[in-house]
Amino acid sequence: MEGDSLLQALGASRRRFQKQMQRLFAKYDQAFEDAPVVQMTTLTYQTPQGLRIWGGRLVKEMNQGQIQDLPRKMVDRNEDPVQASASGSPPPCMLEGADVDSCDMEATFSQEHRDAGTLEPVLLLSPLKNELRRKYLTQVDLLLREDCCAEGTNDGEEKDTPGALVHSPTSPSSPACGCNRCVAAESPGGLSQLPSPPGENHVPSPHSSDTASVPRSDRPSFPGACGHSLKHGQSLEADDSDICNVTISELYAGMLHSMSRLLGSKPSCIISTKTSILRHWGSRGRAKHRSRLNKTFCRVGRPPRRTLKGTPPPTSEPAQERGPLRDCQNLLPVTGHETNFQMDTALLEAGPAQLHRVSPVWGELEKNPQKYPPLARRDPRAGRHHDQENPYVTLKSLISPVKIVSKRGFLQSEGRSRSREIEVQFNHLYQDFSLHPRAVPMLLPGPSAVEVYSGGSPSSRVPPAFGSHQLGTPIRKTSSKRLSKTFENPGSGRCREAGAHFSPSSSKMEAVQSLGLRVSGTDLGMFQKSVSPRRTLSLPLNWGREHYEDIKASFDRLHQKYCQKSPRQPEAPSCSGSAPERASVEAPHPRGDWLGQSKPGSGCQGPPRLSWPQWHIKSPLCPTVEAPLSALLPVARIGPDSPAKRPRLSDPHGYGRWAGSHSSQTSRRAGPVVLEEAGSLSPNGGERKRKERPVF
Amino acid sequence: MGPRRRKPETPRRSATPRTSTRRGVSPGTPARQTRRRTSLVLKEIRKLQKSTNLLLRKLPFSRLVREICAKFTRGVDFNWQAHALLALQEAAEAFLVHLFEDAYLLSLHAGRVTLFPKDVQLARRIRGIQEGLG
Repeated sequence: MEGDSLLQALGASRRRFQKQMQRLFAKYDQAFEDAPVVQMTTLTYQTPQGLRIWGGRLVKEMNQGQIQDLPRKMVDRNEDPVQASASGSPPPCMLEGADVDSCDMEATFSQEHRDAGTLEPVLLLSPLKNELRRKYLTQVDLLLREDCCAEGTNDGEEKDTPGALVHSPTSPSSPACGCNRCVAAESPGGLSQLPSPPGENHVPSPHSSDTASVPRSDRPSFPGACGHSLKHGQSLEADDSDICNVTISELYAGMLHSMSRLLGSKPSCIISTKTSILRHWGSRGRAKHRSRLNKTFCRVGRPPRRTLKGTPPPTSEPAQERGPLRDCQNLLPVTGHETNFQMDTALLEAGPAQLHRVSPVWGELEKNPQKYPPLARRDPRAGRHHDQENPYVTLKSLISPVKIVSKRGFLQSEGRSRSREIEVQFNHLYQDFSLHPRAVPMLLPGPSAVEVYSGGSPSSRVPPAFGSHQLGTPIRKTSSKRLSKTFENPGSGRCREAGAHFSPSSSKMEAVQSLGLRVSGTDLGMFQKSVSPRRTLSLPLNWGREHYEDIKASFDRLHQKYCQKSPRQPEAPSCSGSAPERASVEAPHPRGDWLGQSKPGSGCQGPPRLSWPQWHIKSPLCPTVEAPLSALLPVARIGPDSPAKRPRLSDPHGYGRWAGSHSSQTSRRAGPVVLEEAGSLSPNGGERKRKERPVF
Repeated sequence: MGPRRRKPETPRRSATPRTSTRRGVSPGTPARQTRRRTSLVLKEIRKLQKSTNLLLRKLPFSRLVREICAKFTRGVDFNWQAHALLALQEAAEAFLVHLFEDAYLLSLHAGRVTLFPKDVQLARRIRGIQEGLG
C-alpha cells in the first residue's frame, strides 16, 4: 500500500515536472533577436544605462548627461529588462534607446574625440579577449579600407563587402562612403560607449598589459580620415548589435593579419588564450596516444633465456612475447618451451618420411633465409601459429634437441655454418639408416652394454639410440636396482617377476617392449633408422665402465665359486630355500645352484639370467651380436651333455675380453659355465630367455 | 535614476526564533518552539511554491554556465543571449525541484522527515539513465 502511494506520488511529481517544462518550452520558443547578449568573459551585458553585470549591479554608467536625458520609462524598463521579459512582456529594444539618444550620442562622441587624451575606455574590466577582438577588428578595418579605397570612393551604394560588418537595417543613417563602413568596423565588439580613439593618446585598458599592443602605426586614423565623425556615433551605435553578431569567420582575416604583425613586432609575446592551451593540451594528449598506438612491440633484443626458463609471457601481450620480429634462425629460441615440446614430439613421432620431407625444406631455408624474415614481422599471433606449423622449427628441433637456446650470435655466420654442419650430419645419418633399416638401435639399459660391445667386434657395435641417454637413465637405474635385487634373492619371487618380463615372442620389437621401455613401434623404427651401427654417440662411459667392472667382478667371483664347486654337482635347490644364498653375489656356490636348476620349468629361473641381464637384453636388439656368440659356443662346448643351445648374446665382447684378459683356463672354465648356463635352460632356454627379461 | 527596486530576499532563518521577539509571547516550552518552527517552515514552503521567480542567483549560475560551456567550446567563451541564460536557469531549477520532490517522497516512504543523500541517489536511480543520471 505504501508502495502504491509512493508510486502515485512519484507519478504526480513527474507530471508536474513535465507540465512545467512544456511551459518553459513555450515561453522560450521565440528568437529573442533583440535580447541583450551577455559576454561570458565578463558576464556583463549592455544596457542603456551602461554596462551591467549579469544578475548584478551596474558596472559602468554611461555619461551622466546621457542618462539624465533618458526618459524615466526607459530607465524603469531597462532596470531589469530581462526579468520583465521573463515575466512575459517583450523586452525593450536596445536600439530604441539608441535611436532616441542618437543626437546625444553624437554629441558625446564628438566631445570624446576632442578629448581623446582624457578619454578612457569605459570598459574597465576589458579582458584579454576583448582587447584582441578590438585589435582584430581594427586590422579588418585596415584591410577593408585598403580594398575600399582601391575600388574607389564613389561607391555610394551600399555593398555588403565581406569584410565589412553587417550594416544594421535599423540604423538610421547609412554611411555613404565605404570608408564609413570601414570605420564602423573599427568599433570593438560590444562596446558602444566609446571606441578607443586610435592615434596619439590612446590609453590602453588596465588589463591589457598581457597583450601585445598593436603598433600605433597600424591603427587606422579615426574619423579624421573619413571626415564623418558626426555619423560615427550613429554607426557605432548601429553597429553595436552588428559587432555582437560578428562571427569569427569574418574576423579571421583580421586576426591573421594582426597576429602576424604582433608576432613580427614582438616575437616573444605570448598570445595565448584558454582555447590555445586547451587545444595544445588536447593535441599533446592525442599525440601521446597516437605515439602509443603506433608503437610496435619489438622483442628481438630480448635474451632467449626468458623463454628458456619457461616463464610464461605476460598475459597482456602473450603473442608479442613470442617475438614476431625475428628471423627464421631465431624461431627456436623465441618459441621457447613450445619448441621443447615440439622437439620431443618430433623425436618420438616423426617418422623417416617426415624427416625426408623436412630435409628439402631445410635446404631451401638454407639457400633462401631471406624468405622467412618477413614471416617474422607478421602479426605475433599468426607468427606463433606459423612457428608451430613450420616444418623448419620441427627440423631444427630434430637436429639439435639439446640446443634450444641460441643467442643473437647464432644468427651470425658461425651459426649458419654450424647449422649447415648439422644438416650434413643429419642427412648422413638419415641415409645410413635408410640403407640399413634393420639396424636395430640398442636400447641402452646402461652404458655398460656399449662398453661391452665396443670391446668386441666393431661390427657388433651398437651405439645407443638417438637421444637414448634420456631413456637410458631410467633404464640404468632400474637395471641397477633389479640387478642388485636379483643377486640378493635369486630364488625369490622376484626372479619370477624379472622373468615375467621376458616375452615369448621372437620379434625384436616385442622384445624391446617387454623390457618395459614402453616405446612404440614407430619409435623403435625411428631409433633403428636414426642410429647408425657404425657410429657411437657420446655416452657416459665412465658409468658404463664402472658398471661393467662391477658385473665383471661379480662374475669372476661367481665363476671362482663355481669352479670350486664344479665336481660336487650341487642339487637343484629350491628357489625359496636357498634364495638368500643365491641372491648374494658373493654366495659361495651360486653357479652350482644355477647349474642345479637345469630342469626346465624349474621355479627359479632367475639367477643365470639375472646375473647376465645385459646379455638377454641385448640379444634381441643386436642380431649382429649373435654371430660371435654362436661362434664362441661351439668352441666352448666341452661336455656332451650340453645340447645345442640357442646362441645367447650373453656377453660376447665382454666375454671375449674377459677371456683374453684371463688365462686360457679361466676362459675354458667360462666356456662350460656359459654352456652349462645355457644348457641349464636349454629346453626352454630360448623361451625363458624371452620370458625372463631382467628388467633393470 | 529611479528608485532601485528591491530584489526579493530569500527567506533567511534568523538565529533567534521570531516568537521570542513578539510581544506578550513567552518563549514557551521546546515543543512550542518546535511547533512554531515547523509552521514557519511550512509557511515558507507554501510561499516558495507559490512564487515563480528564479531561486538561484544569476551571477553564480552564469559562472557555472560559463565553466561548463568552456569545456564544450574548447576554452572559447561564447556569448550568450540573456534569454538563453534565463531559460537554462529556469530549466535547471525545475529539474532540481522535481528531483528534491521525488527524493523527499522516498525519505517519507522510509519513515523519515530528513532528506538524505541516499534518497536523492535512489530517486535518480529509479528515473533511469536518461532522466536520472543524464
